[in-house]
Amino acid sequence: MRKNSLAVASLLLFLAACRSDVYRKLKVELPAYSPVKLGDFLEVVITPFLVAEQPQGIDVNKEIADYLKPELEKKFKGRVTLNQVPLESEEAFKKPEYWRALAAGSSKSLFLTGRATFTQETRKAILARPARSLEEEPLSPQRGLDERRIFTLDVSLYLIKAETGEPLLQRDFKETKSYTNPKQRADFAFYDLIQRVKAKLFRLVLGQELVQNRYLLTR
Amino acid sequence: MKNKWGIPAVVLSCLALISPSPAQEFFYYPYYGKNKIMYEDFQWKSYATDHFHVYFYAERPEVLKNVAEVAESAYHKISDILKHQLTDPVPIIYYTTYTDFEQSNLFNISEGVLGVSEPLLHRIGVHGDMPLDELQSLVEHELTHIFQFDILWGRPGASLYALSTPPLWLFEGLSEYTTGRWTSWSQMLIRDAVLNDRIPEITDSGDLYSRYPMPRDPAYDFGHAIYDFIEEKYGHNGIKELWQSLKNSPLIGRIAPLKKAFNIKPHEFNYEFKKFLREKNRKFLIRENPEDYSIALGPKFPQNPYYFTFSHAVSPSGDLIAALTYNVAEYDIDLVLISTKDGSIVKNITRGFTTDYDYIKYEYDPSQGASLAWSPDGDTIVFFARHERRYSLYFVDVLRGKLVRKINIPYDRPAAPCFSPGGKAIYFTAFAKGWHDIFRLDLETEGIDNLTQDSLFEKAPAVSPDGRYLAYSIRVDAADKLFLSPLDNMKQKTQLTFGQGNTICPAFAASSKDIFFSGDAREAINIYSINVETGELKRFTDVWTGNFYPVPHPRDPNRIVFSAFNKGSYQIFLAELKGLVEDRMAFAELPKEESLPGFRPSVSLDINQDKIEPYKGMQSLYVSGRPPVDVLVSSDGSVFGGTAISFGDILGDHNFYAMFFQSRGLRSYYFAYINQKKRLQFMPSLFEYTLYYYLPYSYFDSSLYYSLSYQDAIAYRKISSANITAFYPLNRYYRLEGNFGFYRYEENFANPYSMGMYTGNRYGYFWNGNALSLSLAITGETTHFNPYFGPLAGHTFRISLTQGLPVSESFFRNTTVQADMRKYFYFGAASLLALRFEGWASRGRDPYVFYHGGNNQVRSSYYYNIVSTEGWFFNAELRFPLVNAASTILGQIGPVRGALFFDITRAKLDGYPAKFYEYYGPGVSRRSFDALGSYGYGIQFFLFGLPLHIEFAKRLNWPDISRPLDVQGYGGFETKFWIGFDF
Amino acid sequence: MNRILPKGITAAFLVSLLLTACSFLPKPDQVSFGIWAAEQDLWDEAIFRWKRAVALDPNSVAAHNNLAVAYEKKGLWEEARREYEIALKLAPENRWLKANYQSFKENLEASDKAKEKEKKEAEKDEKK
Repeated sequence: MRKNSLAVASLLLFLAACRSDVYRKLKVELPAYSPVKLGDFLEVVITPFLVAEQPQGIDVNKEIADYLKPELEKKFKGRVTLNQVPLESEEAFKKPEYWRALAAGSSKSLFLTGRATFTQETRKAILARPARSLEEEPLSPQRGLDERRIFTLDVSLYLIKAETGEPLLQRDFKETKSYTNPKQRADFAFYDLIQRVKAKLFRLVLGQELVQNRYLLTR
Repeated sequence: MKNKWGIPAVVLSCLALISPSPAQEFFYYPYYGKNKIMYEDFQWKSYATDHFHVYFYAERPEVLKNVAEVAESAYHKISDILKHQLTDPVPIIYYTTYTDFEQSNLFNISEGVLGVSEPLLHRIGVHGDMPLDELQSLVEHELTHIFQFDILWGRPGASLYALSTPPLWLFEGLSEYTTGRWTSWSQMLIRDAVLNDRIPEITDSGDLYSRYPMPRDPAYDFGHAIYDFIEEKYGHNGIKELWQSLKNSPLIGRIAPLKKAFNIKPHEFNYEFKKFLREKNRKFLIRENPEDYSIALGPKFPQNPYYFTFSHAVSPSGDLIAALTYNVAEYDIDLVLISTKDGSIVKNITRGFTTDYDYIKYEYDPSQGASLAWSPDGDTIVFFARHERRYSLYFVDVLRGKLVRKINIPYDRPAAPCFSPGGKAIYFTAFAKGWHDIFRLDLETEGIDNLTQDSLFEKAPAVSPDGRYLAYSIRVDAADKLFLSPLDNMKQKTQLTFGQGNTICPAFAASSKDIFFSGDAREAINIYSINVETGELKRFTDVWTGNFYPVPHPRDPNRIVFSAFNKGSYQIFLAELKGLVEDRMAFAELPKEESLPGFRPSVSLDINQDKIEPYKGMQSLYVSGRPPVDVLVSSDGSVFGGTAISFGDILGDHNFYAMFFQSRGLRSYYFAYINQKKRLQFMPSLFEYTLYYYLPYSYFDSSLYYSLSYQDAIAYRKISSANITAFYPLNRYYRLEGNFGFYRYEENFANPYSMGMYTGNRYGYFWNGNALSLSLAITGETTHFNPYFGPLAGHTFRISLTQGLPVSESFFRNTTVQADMRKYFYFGAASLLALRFEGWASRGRDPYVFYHGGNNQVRSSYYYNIVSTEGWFFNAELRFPLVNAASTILGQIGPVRGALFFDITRAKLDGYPAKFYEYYGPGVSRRSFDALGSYGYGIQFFLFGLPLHIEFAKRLNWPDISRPLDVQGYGGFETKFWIGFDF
Repeated sequence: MNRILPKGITAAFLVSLLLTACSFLPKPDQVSFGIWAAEQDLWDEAIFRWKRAVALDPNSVAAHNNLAVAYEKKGLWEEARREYEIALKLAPENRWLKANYQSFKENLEASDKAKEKEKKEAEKDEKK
């Protein structure tokens, strides 16, 4: 009996080692659909945005360019450059000839432009104290005046194909965030908001990669 | 265990030290060695010029004229530079091809060696597989060494007495300096080191030391640069002063050449020298660093164990690159696959070792073309490798990672394989009868056609993707230029590049209209392309070192795969490169080959045919080398010491040896002559050996067990002989050996009176008498060795049959069979399982008595204490590295290796049972067992160049060998110490 | 008295059996080499090998299926669909192939919906 067990164990081990796989399961990163095929372009040119409103001390155009350029460079294999020619008016978005002229012969470029508004306001309200502060300050009043700093970034973004001057994509993004700190800096708040805009924009433009299982057949 | 008739181990080691062993090329005691086969029986001739004796065998008369003119031109040039004359003519030995050169009995030639000079007899050895201008430089280099030997030590033979030699850079640097030639490659090595701040430095002892790996010893290129520096700082006479100061160097002791000659300390010299080099290379600082192109793909020592990319080929998909690289961990050239995605090495196709070929052929010189090619269908990679006498083309199946085909190439030094677009043929270059041509190999018929058949030196062919044209380079005067020929008319040659500099390693773009190549017009070697229709010349890089083998990516023509020299090594890069139009070339068709300028030496000679003499062989004999001193220590604490001296003819074909060694006051002598001229080699010898062993007296009389120690029963055996041995190598690994001779034996206790008293003269197995014997043996060794650790993989064996001939009643009569078989299973990272089985049996009226035990044979036994007429032992050792190198207060030690071992033996003396005995009790009782052995562990390390073993062994007894698993341990672990090499 | 137990030897034998057993497996071919390349993320090489496999054996289900996966990876949806359809014709009941194709279809439908949504939103923006 013992000898048989040994023989059976050997056979099972042999079969386990030698099982001929019919398939090999692989996790594959699949590209998702995107209306803009970024790979068709050699260059993305960020032009100045039309800025309707911005708080004092912050240059929204510069902030947008400084943030989006390196973020795009991480994802885009071609060049990302900045164009300093300011937009004169909203009409420019509807003028293909304007963009074709701005491209100056580089037909494989894509312009990233639009308009942006960055506002801030302070809102006050009578609010209940949070539970934690009751423990720390049990004798202080349970309701009191509280204020919030609210920042709103409104971006209307265009992706315009240089060759034709026509927009490939136009999207509006509006992001708002409130801060309990009354002295919240505008540039820091802008950074938080533009991050959200970028995430949504990139999901749209680059498509979200899907990681899925696929089965490769061996025979 | 000593061989019965063969040469004792100590003698063999002395033999190896003083000269190439008889028919044994790679001797690694205690091994039998591989075979260097004399395929040719060279019919040597000699011719005397003013300053040379030229030895040659080539039939073509222009060969002697070329060699003589090259040699005399070199002599005049070097004599002028050094203001010195040689008193004796220099023997220059010229081999027509490299594979002939390898058959030299005088020099140990390995791949990459172009020429040799030796200090004893001032001989030079060179071969002719190169263009004439390169031969000129080579002879100048080697002849400079002869001048150096002459300046330092005077006449031939005087170097025997010199025990210290000046640092290597002094020799090699001057030899490079006198050629007056800086190749692009050498300049690139210097530039790379300067710009990466890796300049070697002079140490306090005067050596030139680099802490970074370099493709070749810095003594050559940096030595050359040092002489340039000396000339600039101290003038041309500075070099002569340097060598004059060396002339009076002590025979023993340190030499500080710079201090002696210029009164400058090493650190001051280093400062000045580095400044000099940086100034010379300043203009290259603003050029491209190869690391700017992309990440380095593939070999990236020490991040992975692969160093240097000799050559590469891109797969048809473009995702993989095949590259030849040096595996530092295994001291071997490997073919690896590299991912172009992330540069990782994804597969080693030639993992481990093989006997299918001796070594893969590779080139340091990129002008010779890539060393491998990938078939258009993606299934095969081809490369040339050395096998036996010549080279063969090997086909590796990429899918299986195995060799699937081999085609022998009947020409010398084949290089630059290139598939035709359909994959039905391979183009390559090779030497045929002294000319370097382009050949086409048909893969279906295996027929080879010479496509060029001219006196031009063609290199690196590349076929256009449309299959119509062949691009290649030709050596024009002293530079390589690009040419283009239609494949259906190779006589039509259109020159594509002109002007200064070299243009090498062409590769077609997919369009068949552009050819990428490397060129050194800007001193550094850059990537260019030329359009074969418009002549438009574009430059793609402006690197500070060199970029080679540019190949467009198969799927993306804007990206180029190329090899760049960076930090002492070739590395592969993949980059998108923009071309800059530099020129528009006007091509020129070559009217006939004679119109191309060719190099001629400065001295012209007329050869007097009447003065050509056949070489007669043993006309004069010369000392072959300085007598070595060899030392071994056995596990009984005995020290073996010996030395040897040899004499040979000028070509090393005929050698006489005399060896002397001693142990425990017992002296041995050995005299032999060996004729190595032909494939069948023979060696008559005379010897008298006196050896010792320990008789296990208590075997015969157990009552002696407590009265005597085993060393009291030391016995000696004296063998005097006159015999002749013949060796016939079947191939590199296997050979037949035969021996016939007369042997006289004298054997007794070392202290015969006392031992006679104790044993009552009952031991009757001493051999005293004569024997006339004939033996045949077959020896094989495929074992691959690591320079530090010894054997790694393969097998070694020797099986012999010896018959004591019944000449008369008083002559010994026996038949003896012996076998020594070893097998090594390599696991990687210098770890292996080593197995050995040795067995012997002697039957007949006078069976031979063998002795063994101790050392690494049977560790639990005393040294040479097991006596038998039949027996065997088996060893198994698991060896693994512990430390590669360690700095200690004693200095650098390492490598250090660990081992687990097991051994077992059985032995039988004629007339006695095959038993071992264990004695116990006051009454000296004994129990018997069938087999004896041991197991244990130990470490091995090197100190002062000697392999030391410290081991802990526990004895094992087998009461009944038919029940092998029923084994007994005996006692504790005993400490053993011995010095010697592992089996 | 020490004894060397047979169990140790048996264990050594079983381990060596495990290690060496798979040398009896079929030898590598274009399909398996392509799989190896895909596992190394070398998809161009994988496509090259599976195309070779199809050229050698046009009825190779494995080659067509694997090519389809590779085309999916490269974003070449039409080519992927074509290969899946060929593979399904050859082996309609192959569960791994069907699983791949199902996932492929779901992705496409999601993409089609996204394209539709994109188109509608673009039209809405135009009207604005």
